[in-house]
Amino acid sequence: MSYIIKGRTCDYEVVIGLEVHCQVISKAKLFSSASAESGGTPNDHVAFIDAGFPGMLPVVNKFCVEQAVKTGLGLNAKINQKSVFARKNYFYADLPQGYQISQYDKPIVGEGYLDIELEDGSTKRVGIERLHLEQDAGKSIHDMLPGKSCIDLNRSGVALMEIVSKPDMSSPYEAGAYLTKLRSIVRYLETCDGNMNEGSMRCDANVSVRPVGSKELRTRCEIKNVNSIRYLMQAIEYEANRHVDAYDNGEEIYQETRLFNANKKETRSMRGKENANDYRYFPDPDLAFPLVVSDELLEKVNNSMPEMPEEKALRFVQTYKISDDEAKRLAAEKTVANYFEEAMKEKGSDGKKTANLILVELAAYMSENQIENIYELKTTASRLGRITALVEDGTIGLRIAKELLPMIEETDKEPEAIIEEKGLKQVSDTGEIEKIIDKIIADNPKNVEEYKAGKEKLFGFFVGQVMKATQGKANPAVINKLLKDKLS
Amino acid sequence: MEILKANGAEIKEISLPNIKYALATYYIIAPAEASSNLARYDGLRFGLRVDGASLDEMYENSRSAGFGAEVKRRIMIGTYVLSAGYYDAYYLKALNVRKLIRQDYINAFKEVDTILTPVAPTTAFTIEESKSFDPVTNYLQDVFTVPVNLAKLPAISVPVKKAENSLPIGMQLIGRDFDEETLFKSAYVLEQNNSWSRK
Repeated sequence: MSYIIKGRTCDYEVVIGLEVHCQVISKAKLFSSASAESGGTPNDHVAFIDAGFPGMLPVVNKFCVEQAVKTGLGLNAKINQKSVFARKNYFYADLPQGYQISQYDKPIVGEGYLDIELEDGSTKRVGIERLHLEQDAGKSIHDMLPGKSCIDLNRSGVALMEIVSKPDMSSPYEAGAYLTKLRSIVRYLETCDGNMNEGSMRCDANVSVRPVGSKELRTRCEIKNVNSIRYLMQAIEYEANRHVDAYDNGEEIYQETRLFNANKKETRSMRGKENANDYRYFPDPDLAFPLVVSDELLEKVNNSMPEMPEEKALRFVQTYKISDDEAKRLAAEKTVANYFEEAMKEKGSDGKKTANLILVELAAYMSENQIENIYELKTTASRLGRITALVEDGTIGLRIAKELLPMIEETDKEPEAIIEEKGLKQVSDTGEIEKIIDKIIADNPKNVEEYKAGKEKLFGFFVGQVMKATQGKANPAVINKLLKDKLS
Repeated sequence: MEILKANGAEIKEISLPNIKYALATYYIIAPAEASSNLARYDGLRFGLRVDGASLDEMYENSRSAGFGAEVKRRIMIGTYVLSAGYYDAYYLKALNVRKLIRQDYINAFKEVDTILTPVAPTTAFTIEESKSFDPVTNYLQDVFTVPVNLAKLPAISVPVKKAENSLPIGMQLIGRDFDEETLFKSAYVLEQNNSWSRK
């Protein structure tokens, strides 16, 4: 299923590469012992080196190195046991040293890959070019004092991993799937919290188009600061179409950096190539010795690798008897996977039903109410597990189970209490249901006639009527059996 | 040399073939580092600030007013040799030559324990006299000391004699990596036995 943009003279395909900055989860910064926590009182966690004081020397934080190696292993990548820190020189108010310590031609992690799932369920492998460690800059605040800009250095020196993909993606969907997968991996590894809206994961996209089938790489534009997966997909779509329009009109595309405007859903030029900075990269003389990842460290990190999404999904299929697709979708988010397993610890809970309630009912509720983390729900894993156990033992019907969820969200009460209070227990008493069925048959003679004449679709109508009359509490199996008997 | 010989040293002549490139190498590497190291003096956080209409103008004003001529010269040279298109030809080449220079010393230390050189190519001059020097003449004064820094080796200077203008003449001893002990011992012998310090 390829993504093609029709141009006037030919069809175009899109070439996309992504650069993702991930803030490393670590107590201290990359080269200082100041807290790497985000937010807080401005300029509250700033070591001398983070403020660029003269004479201060950087000492690399070993834990951040381990986090980078861990992420590299999670991306099936080559770990460069010798890498070099380089200075990227540019002047900016929130860059106190006048340069950023980064890695240039010798990054800590080399080529790797990750697999994404496409719309048709097939898998595509996207290459990773490299991952390198670098310092974050401070933050300029323009709306604090009138007419003045303020600088907050709390973020200055915090460790970032820049993960660069190969230009292997060819549709907005693929780019979105890549970013989703990458976020899932770093969250699994606990190397980055992946929260794009808080800026701890930031994405730049390189986009170009070319005639379908061509192998050339045309001039690309870099779109900066796209802070959600949806925006990324919109930005790429706009940008690719802009390129096609330009080529259609015989215009050229110039290499430039563009910014995405989420309101207008369009990109606009930020700076052209002629204004691009010459960063004058060179090996940092303060860190003259290469960064060495010893065999021991590599082994230690390797041994600490958690179960990754693919392995987890496999285990879910085997342990909880759910489908491949359900397992994959549950395992995609670590929090969801943990929630599912917690629910399954409840006695009598059922895998299939639990998976379904999470993936359909709770997922819909979360997206409607813009809840990011499943653990924020009032329907705790334990409550959900107990609900499916109640369905399994026949206490309530599946329909009531689904209706319980919004009630719990509203009242924060235990499911058992709500069932008791509202009398939601399933009615399996044949006599009671029989009475209701008799009345429905008597009230709908025309439908009964038609059904008997062969319009079998009407069976559903009768089931619906019984459910309506019992407020969904009647046991569907009992209804089916009784109805079949009565109508035959 | 006579002093050291009299105190048991064996004198041997050595050759450091790449040392002739040391000054050129140094005056690429040192300004490159300086241009980056001094970027923090931008008027924003500490040091002199001269305001301007924009951030860039404030940078320009502060740095123009705050740095002296020699510092500005080095920042310009350093920025140039690190620039795109010049990095390989200058900075990278200089780093490679630096390795060769260090290797020369390492080879030499297979034959000798410490290397003796003058500290400077001329006798000491006054500040007044130096004001008429052009920058290159100034740089040439470092011809014996700069290679040691490039090679990352320890060295010590000892005044040994008085020149005609009654300022001291120094000799330099260069040692192996982390072998300050031999340097201190040899320097002590030089200091105890020369005509200048005995006065």
